[in-house]
This record gives sequence, C-alpha cells and structure tokens, in this order.
Amino acid sequence: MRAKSMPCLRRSTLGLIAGMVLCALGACAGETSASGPRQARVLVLYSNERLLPANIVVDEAIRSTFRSELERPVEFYTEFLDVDRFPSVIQQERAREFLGGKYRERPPDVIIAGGGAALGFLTTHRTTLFPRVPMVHCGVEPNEMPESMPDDLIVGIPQAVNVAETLQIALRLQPETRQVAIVGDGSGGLSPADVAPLASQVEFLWLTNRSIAQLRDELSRLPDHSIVFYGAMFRDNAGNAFTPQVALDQFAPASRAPIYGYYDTYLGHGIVGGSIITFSTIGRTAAQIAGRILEGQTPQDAARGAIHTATPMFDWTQLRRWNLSESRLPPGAEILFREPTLWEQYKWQMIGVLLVTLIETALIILLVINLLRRRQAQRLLRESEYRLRLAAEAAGAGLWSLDLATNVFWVTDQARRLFAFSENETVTLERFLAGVHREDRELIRQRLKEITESGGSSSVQFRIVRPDGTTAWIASRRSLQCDSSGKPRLLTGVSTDITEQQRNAEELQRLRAEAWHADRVARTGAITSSLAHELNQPLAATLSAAQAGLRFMAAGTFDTNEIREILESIVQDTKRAGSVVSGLRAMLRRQPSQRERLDLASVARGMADLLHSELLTHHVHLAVQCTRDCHVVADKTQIQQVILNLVMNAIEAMQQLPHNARRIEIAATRDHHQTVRVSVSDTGPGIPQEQTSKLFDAFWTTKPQGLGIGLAICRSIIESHGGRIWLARGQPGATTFCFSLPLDPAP
Amino acid sequence: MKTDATIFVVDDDASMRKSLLWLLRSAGWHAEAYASAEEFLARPPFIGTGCLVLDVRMPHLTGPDLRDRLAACQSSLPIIFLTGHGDVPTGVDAMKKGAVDFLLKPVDDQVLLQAVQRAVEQHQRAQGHAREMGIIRERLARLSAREREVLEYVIAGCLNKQIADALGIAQKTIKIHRGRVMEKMEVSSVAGLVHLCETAGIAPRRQDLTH
Repeated sequence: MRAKSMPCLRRSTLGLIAGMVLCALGACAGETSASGPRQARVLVLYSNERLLPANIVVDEAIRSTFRSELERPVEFYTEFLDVDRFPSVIQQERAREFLGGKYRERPPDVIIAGGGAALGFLTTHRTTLFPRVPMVHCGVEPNEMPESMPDDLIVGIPQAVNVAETLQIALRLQPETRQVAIVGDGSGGLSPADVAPLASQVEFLWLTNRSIAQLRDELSRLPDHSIVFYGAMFRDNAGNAFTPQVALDQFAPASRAPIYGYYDTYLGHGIVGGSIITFSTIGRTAAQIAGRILEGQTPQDAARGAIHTATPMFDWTQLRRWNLSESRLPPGAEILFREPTLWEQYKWQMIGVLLVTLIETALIILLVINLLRRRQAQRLLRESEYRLRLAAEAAGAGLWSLDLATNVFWVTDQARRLFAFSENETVTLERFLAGVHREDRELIRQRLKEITESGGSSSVQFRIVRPDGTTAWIASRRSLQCDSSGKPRLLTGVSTDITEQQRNAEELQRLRAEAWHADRVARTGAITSSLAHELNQPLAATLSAAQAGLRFMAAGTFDTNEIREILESIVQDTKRAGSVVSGLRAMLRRQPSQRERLDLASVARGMADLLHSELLTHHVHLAVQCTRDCHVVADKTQIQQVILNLVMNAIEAMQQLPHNARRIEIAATRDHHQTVRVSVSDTGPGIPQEQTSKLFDAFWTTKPQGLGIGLAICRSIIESHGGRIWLARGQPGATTFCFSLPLDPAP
Repeated sequence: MKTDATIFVVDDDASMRKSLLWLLRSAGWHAEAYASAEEFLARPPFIGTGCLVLDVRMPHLTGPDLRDRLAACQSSLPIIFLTGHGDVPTGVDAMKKGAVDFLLKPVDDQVLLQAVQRAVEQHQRAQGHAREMGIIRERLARLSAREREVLEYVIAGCLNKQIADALGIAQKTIKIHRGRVMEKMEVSSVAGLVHLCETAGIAPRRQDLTH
C-alpha cells in the first residue's frame, strides 16, 4: 500500500522524525508540569493545509465535541504538515525537528492525527517524536494505513471504503451509464477491486493528471451516458496546488455528465452525491475517543466499538440539474440544499393571504345574499303592502296614521271616502273631530288621550255625520308607535263603516227578543189554566171573606176585630191576585230588555209561587233551596222565562212517574265567589247520553208536540247575560240543568 | 136548624180556609178547618152529623183521594167538592161516587150555604134510616127459621091456607106462627109488617098459587 503512493511514504518518514522529536520533548514537559494540576493538552496534526475544507470541518467538530462532552478544560494545538504542497522528506524532517522543539515545553497529553499522511508521519517518528503519547487517528483511508502500529497506544477508526458504494449509487441513479470518467490525483482513489466488478458493465475513462483546463475541456466533451467519479485533486499536472473542493469548483461547471464523490465537502460544489461519511462525524468520533483517553481509559478501550457509517447524501440542485429521479435514490438517502417550495417558504404568508381571500369572499357572498334578501324583502313588502291595501279596500277599511307632533293625518283614499274628506284636503285632528257626531266628540278626545298616555292598541266605535247629514257608525282600531326615546310619535289605525253591522246587530237583537217573547207567550199559554186557578184562589177567598163579613154585619153580631181580620185578609188576597196578574203581564208583555240587580233566590221562589197550581195539577212537589246573596244583574222576566222553561220541561219529563215520585228542586247557590248558579233538578228518567250534545240546539226535541226551541232560547238568554247553561252530570234517575250568571257582589 | 152538626173544611189554601170558616160561622154553623187531607184523617173519627167541604186540588192526597179513603172506612159524611178547576170529568166522577155537590170557586155564599144545609139534612136522614134499619134487623133476628118463612109468605099477601099448603103443615100451626111473627116484629097489622119489611128490603116469597 505504502509503495503505491510516494506522498504517503514521504509523509510517513516525516511523521517518524517529528514523533521522535516530540517524544523527547514530552518527557521534559512532563517534569515541568508537575508543579500543579493543568489543562489537558490536545495536539491535532493534519496532513494538509489549514484551509482545506475537510480540516476546517474536522477541527470544528473536534473542538465542539470537547467543549460539549468533556468537562475538563482543554488546550488545543493544531499543526498542519501540508504534505501535498511540501511532500519532500527534507520538509518532513524539518517538520519533525520543528514540532519536537516546539512541544518540548508543552508536551501534549493526547494527539489526534488527521489524515493518512499525519498518521504516517507520527508513526514513522514515534520513537523520537511524542513517544508513549496516546494517539487517535481519523480520516485515514484504508490504503493509507501503516502496515503495523509501533505500539498499542495508537488507535483510530479506519476511513470506510466508499468508492464501491458511491459507484453503485451512481449506476443505480443512472442505469443507462456506459462510461465512468475518473477525476483526481493518482488513481483517483479507486483500487482495482473497485473497478473489476464493474468492468463488464461500464467503461472506465481515467482523466487523472490533467490540468484544470484540460479537464474542463475533456469533461465538456464527454459522450452521452457518462458519469464522472471524483476522488480528490490537490494539484494538477501543471504543478498548481489547490484543495479538492476548489478544483471541483473549477471543473464541475464544464462537465457534461453528473459528478459523484464521497466527501461531504464536495456537496454543494458540483457533485450529485455519493456514499458519504461526513467530516464532522469523523472529527466528533476522534474527539470522543481522545476524551475517553484523557479521562483515564486505555486507548484500546477508548476506541473499542467506535465506528462511523456512511450515509447516501445528495445535492438536490444537482439532482435537478441532471434531471435525476429521487425515486431511484437508495433508502435513507439525505437530500441537501433542497430549495424550499413556495409553499414551504411562504406557508404562513400564503395561509394568511388565502384566509384573507376566503374571508373577503365570504363577506362578498354575505353581502350579495344580504342584497338579494333585501331585494326579496322589498318585493315581499311591496306585495304585502299591495295585498293589505287590496284587502283593506275590499273590506271597505280605511287606513290612516296620525302624526302626533303635527296632528296631521295620512289617509288612504278609502279612508277619505269613509270619513267624507275631500280629495286633496289636508286632514288635521280638528278637521277630523269636526266630522265626528257631537255626542261622540268627547269620547274620541278622551280615548285619544288614553291611548297616547298608556300606549298599546285599542278600538273605539263612534258616529260621524257626513256632509249630506247622514250618520254613520265607524269602528276604529288604533295602535300607538313610539320613537326610540319612548315618546309617542305615530298613531296608526284602520277604520271601517259598521253602520250596517250596527243595524244588523240591532235587528238581530230585536228578532231575538221577538223569539224570546214568543216563547214566553207560548209557555204562559200552556199554563193558562193553572194561572187562572192561581188567580181564582185569592178571588174566591176574597169573595167568601167579604160575604162572611156582610153576614156578620147583617146579623148584628159582629166582632170588630173579626171584621178587621176579614178586611185584612181581603186586602192580602187582592194583592196576591194582583201579583199573579202582573207576573202574567210581565211574561206576556213585549218590552225592551231591562237589566237590574236581582236576587236569583227570590226570582226562583216567585216562579215557584206562580207555578203552584201547575205543579199541583201534575202532582209535582217542588222545593226551593237557596243560599243568601245570590245577586246578579239581569233582566228579571228573561231569567223567569229560563226557570219557567226548565221547570216545565222537568214537569213534562216526570209524567210517567207515580205521583209521589215527582219532585223538582230549584237551588240557587254562589259558585267560587264569581258566579251564581241556579240548578233545576227533577227525578225524571234522565236524558240519554247520545242526546245530550244536541240538547241546546234549536228545533231539536224529543217531544211529539215540542217545538224544540225552549232550551235554545234558554241558552241564548243566558249567554246574552254573559252566563252559561249546561246539563249537569248526575246520578241516574235525575236530571239537573244548571245555569250560571256573573255574581254582582254586594255594593 | 143548626143543631149540633159540624162542618169540616179541608183546603190547602190558608186564605180560602179562613174565609170559608168565617162564612160558615156567619151562617151559624160550627166549622173546623184542615190544611190537608192527611191532617183531617189524623183527627179522631167523627160520629156526629155534619158535612165535608173539600178542595179538589191539594198536594199529596187530593180531594178525591180523601173521598176514597173515607168511603173505605164506611163514613157517611156527605162531601161538597169545591174546585177552581171546573173540569167536567172530575165533577161527574165526584157526583157518581156520592158527592152531594160540586161547586166552583169563587162560590156565592148562598150557594155554598144551601149546599151545606142540604148535605147536613141528608146526613141526618141517612143517620135516621140507619137507626130504623137497626131496630127491624134486631126484631127479624128474633124470628125462627119457620117464622121467617111464614113472614115472607105473609107479606106476599098469602092466606094461612095457602101458606099451609106451600109448607105442607097444618093451617092451625101457620096461624100460631103468624101470631108469633106479629108479636116479635111488634106490629099490629099486616100493613105495618109490610112497611117494615119494605124498609128492611125483605122480598116477599112468591107463592105458587097453582099449588
């Protein structure tokens, strides 16, 4: 191995000399340092010059590893053999002398040899330079390793052989390759073992020992399906020296074919990639081993198990330049210098812009929707307004609103016609009031005041006098609108002519009264003979009493007291007859409804008295059960009519019963302090369930001679009094009709 | 004339009761008033002479009901019905069942009082007849069966011989029976005997004259 490369041999000789010098010096240094504890001294000796990128990377890795992983402070000493530029044995000898002399004062505790030349130099001069100082080598390629180590204090990790892997990776990336151009010093780092397996597959073209210019020229003329393998180029055949990275920088741009190499310092300078062990890994591993030695481990122990592995690494820009597919890269490949995509570079800005755009779009959509909705709403409003107007016109309703600030009305045409305002007349409140019937003006003013004070909505009915002198009834429904401060602003309303309705209501009332009257007459007619008897009774008593009195007087045997008693009896009976007659008259009279405060109990009793004879005729026993204070406001005759109807129905219902089983009970009681309830119960057979729903319908009857209007009339009377009438659910063998009227509490 | 007769008034109307009492008293009658049939029935049975002025329409027991009750216990008290309800069927029914009178309210004093008078007299007569009947029945009870037979032939106007032939016994024996009949019946002549038997309603035995 050594014979193969002259520079290496020379470097080894130099190293030997330097080693011997340093070793001799080291012994003295050991004595001088015995004065006290001192910092560990680490000497790093590189084969090449100081600015070789590999050296810079390794040096940095060593120093940072010591700093971060070793507690003990370390003094660094760095030396560079620079054998590529000064390869002669003389120079090595000088270096040995220089280093030996220099480090006699400060002998190192551990030495790191960077590169094969440095290791060769140090092992060669081991006996004279730094003997017995533990040494760690790194970055030594297998072909640079000395055949044997002078002692076991020298350890290190041999540089992995990456040529074969790099070539394999290259062929894998570019399987169509026919030719591999080798660039570098000497054999370009390739051994026959690297070439042999591929000889059948590709042709090797050796472009070693060229000048940069020649190299550029030849590379620029490479045929298709070529690749370039770059080892390391320290000098050209013109004698110019440079670092391999600088050489690469110079020829790479000219190459027609992709360049592969296995030093990480080449990445970014024109190679596509390769199986690469990084120099920082190399430096870190060496520093770790040296550190362990400084901590007291033997060099063999410290180096045991240490290894650095190669990683396939690629330059993304080169992959792009040569249009090489990433999918063919070996597994676990690292791609450097990947230009971030726009997305990666401007992710947040893009998200921001996108968000803003989305928000703006959403806003625009919302605005458009809003606009459409508003248009729709406006259209609906117009339609609704139109419909309202149409409906109002059809219903003959006039719409208006009164501005409470100006007291001026806005009115629809229909309202103008309704109130007989002329076409273009401004309608003020005064103008409106002038048209209102004199008797209703105060009412209108009063109600206007109420609504503006208490708000809400209400309705009012009043009369107006039209210019032609006719009177019309108007119903107005008004609603107050206030401004934001709550001040009444606008009174809006709708008015209709209800003259016809009023007339109809009056007519209806009249007809109803007629019907009620007809029913009363019919009912009274049905009991005429009983009433005659009822009237006859007091008359008969009166006659007999009077005649008895006359006889007493004729006989001259009378007692004054007896005569007074007779006369009093006559007076009482006459009154009794009178009340029967007036009761009869009331039932038969056609009179307007007269509401008054009534005690329902006494009305019930009065009715029982009037029906005394009728009950006797039908062998019916009637009892009246009343509680006190059953007062209501009602028309007495009409209530009597209801009771009469119910009692007569009850009598009729019991026709088939034996005499002693015919019983009627009238009860008047107060219900929940709100109403007075009158019930009329009989012991008749009851009403079948299926008939109860129709009971109060007009012209529905179960009686052969009945008209079927009795209960219907009872209902209309009771409901016109704000009460209700119903059939109470009772036990079998009894029928109870009830009606209730609002209680009129004691004043 | 007023004797010791009692006039009963039954009417549910208080005024009517009072007025009728005054009227009857003014005519010199002794009168009692009752507000209902039940009340009247509750008094002890009346054995004297009198009459009943009865209202037809009353709660519970009506006038006709009371009349029926009285008839059931063989009261002979004459009844004058008073009604404000002049329905003919009730009147006819009342008269058929032995009412003395059926008067309509209001009733004139004369009419009522005359009716009362008539009723009392009728009651008196009825009561006299009943007494006579009692005496005759008592005398008839004294007769033997043969004597009763002979009596029936005698009042039929049969001669002793005819009776003897009919009964198949001796004429002489008939004569003795006849004497005993006259004696027991306390009569002196056949005419007197015939009158008594007529009163008692004993039918003469029709003889077979061909025999």
